[in-house]
Amino acid sequence: MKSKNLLNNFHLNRSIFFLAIVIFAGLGVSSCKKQPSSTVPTAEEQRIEKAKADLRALLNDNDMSIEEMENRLDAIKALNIEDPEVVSLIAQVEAKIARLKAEKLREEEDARRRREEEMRKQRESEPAYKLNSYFNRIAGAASTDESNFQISQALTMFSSPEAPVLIIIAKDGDIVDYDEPTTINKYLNYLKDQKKKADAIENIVFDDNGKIKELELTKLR
Amino acid sequence: MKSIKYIFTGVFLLFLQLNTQLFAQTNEPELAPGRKAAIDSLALEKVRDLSKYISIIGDKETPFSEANRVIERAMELFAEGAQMGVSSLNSQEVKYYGVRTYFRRLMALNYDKVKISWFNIQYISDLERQPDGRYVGVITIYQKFEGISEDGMKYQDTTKKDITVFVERKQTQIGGRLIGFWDVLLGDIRVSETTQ
Repeated sequence: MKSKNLLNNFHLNRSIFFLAIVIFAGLGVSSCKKQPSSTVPTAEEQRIEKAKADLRALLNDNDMSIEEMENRLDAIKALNIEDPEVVSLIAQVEAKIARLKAEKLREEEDARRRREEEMRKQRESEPAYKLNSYFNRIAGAASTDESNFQISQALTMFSSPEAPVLIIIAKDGDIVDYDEPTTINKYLNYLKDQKKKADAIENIVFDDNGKIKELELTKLR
Repeated sequence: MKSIKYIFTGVFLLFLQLNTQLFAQTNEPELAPGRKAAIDSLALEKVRDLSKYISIIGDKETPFSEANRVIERAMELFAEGAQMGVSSLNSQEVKYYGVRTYFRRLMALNYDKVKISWFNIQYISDLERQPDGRYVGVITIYQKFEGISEDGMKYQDTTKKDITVFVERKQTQIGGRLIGFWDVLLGDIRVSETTQ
């Protein structure tokens, strides 16, 4: 009886053993069947992964031009991928482009300001500009002392207080009509007395020392 | 015999004058309108400049040295021997002074405050070319004079004045170049009316 039980148990254990083998084998087969689907991505998955990689590249690249970046982003956006990570990456790239554009704009604005400042400095260092400034300061001076000071400063630009000043009043072909010639000293005092806007500077003649030796003004402007 | 001599001399002088006129007219081409407008404007500007000089000279706030300097500048605007008419509401008489004397008197006027301004400056007789090539015209101005004495008494009048203007084209050499310029000179300034 005991041996019969043992035999029965043996058969049972054997059945369980085979059953376990069958299950294990079945599991093994099923896992082997599923494996290819996780290691070989679908075309959609590949598209998403590529988009992610491209977007990350755009985020990390600091040498690409804004235009190129925009073109690549537009191409990715045209794929209409709704994957949340891709959407998030697109938003990050868009933010980066916006920041780069703002920086570029600021840099261009700074460059424009610098250019203007340089031009202003250059203009101000030009004799015509300086002289015109003196003219305005003399005519607009609040007191005689102030205008006399400005006159003395302006005269330092000239080779002599007697440097001739010619004022054009009309032009007709080759004929040029002038007012009676005067001197720079008289002209500056004229501006002081009359308190009126100076005639426009037409031409400046310098001597070898860079001082103005002749000034031509015009009433035609 | 004597009368024939006078007639002959008269005819000769008339001929000479006509000849001079013809010579002047044929040698000086008419000014283009633009150039004429420029000298019209230049002469008006000189009168306006004088107006400012007179107000500076008359102003009691102007330092003595400045007033003297301005007198010299104002003198440059006038032809030799030009006179200035001076009138007053207190007298029918119009007195004429050489311009320098006029400026000196103006500077020394016995008022505590003096304000002189010119307005309505315009041509009453356009610049016309004369036989000698000069242009002559008359510009009229209104001068408002206000003087306040130390005791607060105020004298005020407005005088209409006529200014003869002479404009002549001249040439000078500057920096090796021949420069053609218009010399504007003011002649007598005559009083034509004085009102309160």
